[in-house]
Amino acid sequence: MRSKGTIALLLVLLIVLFGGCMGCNAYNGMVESEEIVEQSWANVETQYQRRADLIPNLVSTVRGAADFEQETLQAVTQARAEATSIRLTVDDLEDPARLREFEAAQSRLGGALGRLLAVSENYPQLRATESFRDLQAQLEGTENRINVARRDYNDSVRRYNTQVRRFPGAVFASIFGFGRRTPFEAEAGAEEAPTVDFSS
Amino acid sequence: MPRQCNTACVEQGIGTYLPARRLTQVLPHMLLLTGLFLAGLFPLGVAHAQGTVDVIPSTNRLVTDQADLLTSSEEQRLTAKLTAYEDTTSTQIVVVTIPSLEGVPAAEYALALGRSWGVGQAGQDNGVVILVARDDREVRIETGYGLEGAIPDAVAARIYRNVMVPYFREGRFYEGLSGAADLLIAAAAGEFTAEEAAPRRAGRPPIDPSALMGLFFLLWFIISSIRRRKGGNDGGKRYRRHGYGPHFIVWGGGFGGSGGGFGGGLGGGGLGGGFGGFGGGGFGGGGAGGGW
Repeated sequence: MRSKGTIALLLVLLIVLFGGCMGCNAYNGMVESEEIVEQSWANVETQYQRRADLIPNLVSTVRGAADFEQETLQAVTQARAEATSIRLTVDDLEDPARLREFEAAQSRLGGALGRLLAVSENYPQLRATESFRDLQAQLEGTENRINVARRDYNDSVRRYNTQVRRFPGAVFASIFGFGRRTPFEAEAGAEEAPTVDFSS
Repeated sequence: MPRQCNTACVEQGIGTYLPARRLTQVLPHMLLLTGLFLAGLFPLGVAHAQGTVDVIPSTNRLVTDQADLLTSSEEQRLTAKLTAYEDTTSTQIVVVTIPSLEGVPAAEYALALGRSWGVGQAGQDNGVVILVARDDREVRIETGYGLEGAIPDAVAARIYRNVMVPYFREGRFYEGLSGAADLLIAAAAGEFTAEEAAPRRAGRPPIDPSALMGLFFLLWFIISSIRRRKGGNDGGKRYRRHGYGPHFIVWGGGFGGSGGGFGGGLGGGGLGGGFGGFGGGGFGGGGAGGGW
């Protein structure tokens, strides 16, 4: 026989089950999103590393061209050294200052590379060589990949942050200790691959 | 305690008759409300953002000539070549021509197209998108993750520079596209075989709220049907049919909608003679291109 007591107990059980379900769901969802953020961050780093890896080859190819401006080459080499010295772990992504630092170093390198390509305009012989063209294509492709990786990272961070901040996720996020992650800020010039300025 | 609920009490709502009626009669309402609550928390149709670029919807073909740069026989020949290649190697080379990019950078358009169409095989991401924008006079070869090793950007750039640009300048689009396809095929030779192609993966939502909701609705359905049988009078039946019927229809519609959203990645398959459908879509911005 069903008495009022057993039914009330059943209801309480149902509510507990429901709350537990929601908690599990929210937790699993956040873990999954965090995983995606980590993956996309790894991809961002890979693409920046890929660009850094191209540079020694580029520098030696350019150096082969007679009397290329040493200043421009040195700027690139130095910016590369600075950019590669900054490595962020996933936990650093909670700290906006660390990400800004990383980004600033990378964008200095991007700027130096852009100048190098611009200056190379003055060396038609260099630009005509197949190896320089290949390097340029790889560099452009890498810049494009960086942009894509950054956008994907921002997408994943946005999804994760929404999950962490929205009700009821926010409750479980604070219980389980999920913090917000920092997205990249779109900065002027960062959206585009270094373009070649023909007037210089 | 009155055994059944007449139509008057239905209109009163849960709060007023909760203490007086059997709780088994309330349970379905609660489950329904819980379901609705869940529906509010986890909106179903949230598609995964593929960036903000709008691309043409998938035609499920390897050659899509919206800009009318090819004659129909050229289109057929190109399709036959690419289909045969996909049959033997599972690598998909997709040619798309559009009239205009409408301000979107070609690389971004090609990337969004490759991702949203799911070009390449699931798990392999061995797809290439060749995008031609007629009015912008721009072309882009976009390589999927799986082909970035076989077709590095430098190779894609050479194909663009040495084959596509010269032909396109003369207006010989078929020769340019066909030549580019030949070189891509040569570059990717041996990289993939048809046997390696993994079975297509179904897009799975990150969390599975529909299962949870489904559970509640199943419970609600079972309990209310038990109750109806037990109650056994016409009042109850009428109440169920008229009161709950529309809800059920609405829910059916809702689930159908979500199915459509996730099904996008599966691809229809079978169209265009031997073409197995899309499934991959892993693109990371590799490739080359430019104007002509």
